[in-house]
Amino acid sequence: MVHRIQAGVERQPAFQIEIDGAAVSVHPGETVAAALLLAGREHCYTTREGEPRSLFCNMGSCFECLVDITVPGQERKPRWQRACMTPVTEGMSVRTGKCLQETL
Amino acid sequence: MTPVDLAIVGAGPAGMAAALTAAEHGLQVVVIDEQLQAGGQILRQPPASIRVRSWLRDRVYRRQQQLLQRAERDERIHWRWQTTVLGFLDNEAHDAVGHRLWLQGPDGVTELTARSVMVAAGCHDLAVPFPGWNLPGVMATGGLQAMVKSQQLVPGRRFVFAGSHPLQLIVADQIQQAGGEVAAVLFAQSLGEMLAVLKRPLRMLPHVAKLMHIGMVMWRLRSAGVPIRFGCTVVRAEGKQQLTAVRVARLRDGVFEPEADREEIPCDHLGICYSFLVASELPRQAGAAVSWSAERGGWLVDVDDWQRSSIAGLYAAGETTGVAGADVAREEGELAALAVLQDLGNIDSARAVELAAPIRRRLSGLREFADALASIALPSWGVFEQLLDEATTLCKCQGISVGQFRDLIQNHGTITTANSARLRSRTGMGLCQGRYCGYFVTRLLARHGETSEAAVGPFSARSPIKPVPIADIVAREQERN
Repeated sequence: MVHRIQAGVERQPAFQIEIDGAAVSVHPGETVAAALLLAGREHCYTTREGEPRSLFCNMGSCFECLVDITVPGQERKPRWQRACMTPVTEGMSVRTGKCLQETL
Repeated sequence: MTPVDLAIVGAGPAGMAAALTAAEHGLQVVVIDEQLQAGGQILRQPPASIRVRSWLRDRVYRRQQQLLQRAERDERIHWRWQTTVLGFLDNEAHDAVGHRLWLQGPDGVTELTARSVMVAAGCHDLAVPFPGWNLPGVMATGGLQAMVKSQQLVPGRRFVFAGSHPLQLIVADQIQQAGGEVAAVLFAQSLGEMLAVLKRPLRMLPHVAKLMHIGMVMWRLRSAGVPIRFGCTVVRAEGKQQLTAVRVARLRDGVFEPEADREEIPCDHLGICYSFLVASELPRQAGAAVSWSAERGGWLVDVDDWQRSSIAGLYAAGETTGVAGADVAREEGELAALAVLQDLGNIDSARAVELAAPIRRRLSGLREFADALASIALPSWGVFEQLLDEATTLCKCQGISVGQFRDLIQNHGTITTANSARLRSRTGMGLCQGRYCGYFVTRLLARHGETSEAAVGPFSARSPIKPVPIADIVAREQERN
């Protein structure tokens, strides 16, 4: 399965974020995209036609990994964010699979 | 606003080399990058909070690693991380003050004025559409690699790589060594076509280290039982919610074998690896002249032999001027910095010529290798043509199929340019702004109209060159008033 490389790698203590209602354990510095892979939830958003869009370029170019992200205290920030460009933070909550045309 | 001397877009090898040279000669330099750290994609670093004991230890990375260390230690360079350059605000003539850029970053939307701008924005994977490629689990090979290099994650269980670029061997090896299972690495070209790179062995002699690295990687993969196959590719991705298998077809005289003979390989992740496209959106938005190259990355920024673009005060280096790899990028970055120093009057032209001489000597050899690689790293159009099935999604942002696009250009004789196709079909109007479909829109139109890609032209690049939240623009306006 998707897994973290352990040999020769030191991470800081894990914390939890929430992805689609489930708790996912992450480490500081990991991206939301990494968390989605670990959680087995790569379907990021859904098009008008009902098709999935998912992690693709992992470098901020394709915009296919947009997910709905909320962080306590940052309610005014735009919620559609590129999973690959967003580091995980404490209290983060992520919704996947939503239709991009839906109003947030 | 006081202008900085030089704003560099992109902190990869070209950007880092340019920043070091410019700073050493006393210029005030700002480097802007979307990532959190320097290195670009070639040295996509792990985040500071994830410590890796021996990161990218292969010898081929050594020179780039040294460059990275020097750049990161240099306190004269000012870095702006997690920041996107959205565009030039001075579409007209370049005036004495310099170029005005607008950016989006942790501080929201801001402006930056620079006497000179160097774009070294790199490249991204050429994503070749084929049936099923929009299933979760189908990724750009560069994207899978960044998960390993930077996030220290094996991003799946069982992988297949398919394409035409040797990078897929390197990524397959990295994943295999990190504990992932690689089911196959598939090259569309025949082995004979690939080995054509060696047809002038004496010219390849200076690049023996790179060739040996590829050889070692192939040996490691073979020893691990990973099949490396030539003359075949993935023609369909299968699965309902997630990729579960790929269908592989062999090419016989350039034609895919019949459906019944095609093999199925179970896997949960597929890396697509057909060469790369240059990120020339920013120079194009500024009005810089570009030229088409199918092999070197689409629309390449035209530069003179000092990396000057057609716009005064705007320079381009590295992949933005044609995909040629990190070693070429680094030399071009240094050359561009010497041009800036010359144009700003910090060094005289005789000194610049003198400083450039060793760079030019290194470049000519490095470019030979890049040319040889470019000549073999892309399959013939016929392979793409067969993959672009009618039902295949051409533009993933707007959900437009190859069939819909072909119908449209057949029924509307007025659609002859990429821009007219964009207006009619909406390809290139989505979130990626045509970065991924543009290459095929251009090539399909050129084929259809029996004309050149130059006649079809690129999608016009507009500011902002990447989507920006309207809230950030509003906040900026409110602050100003």
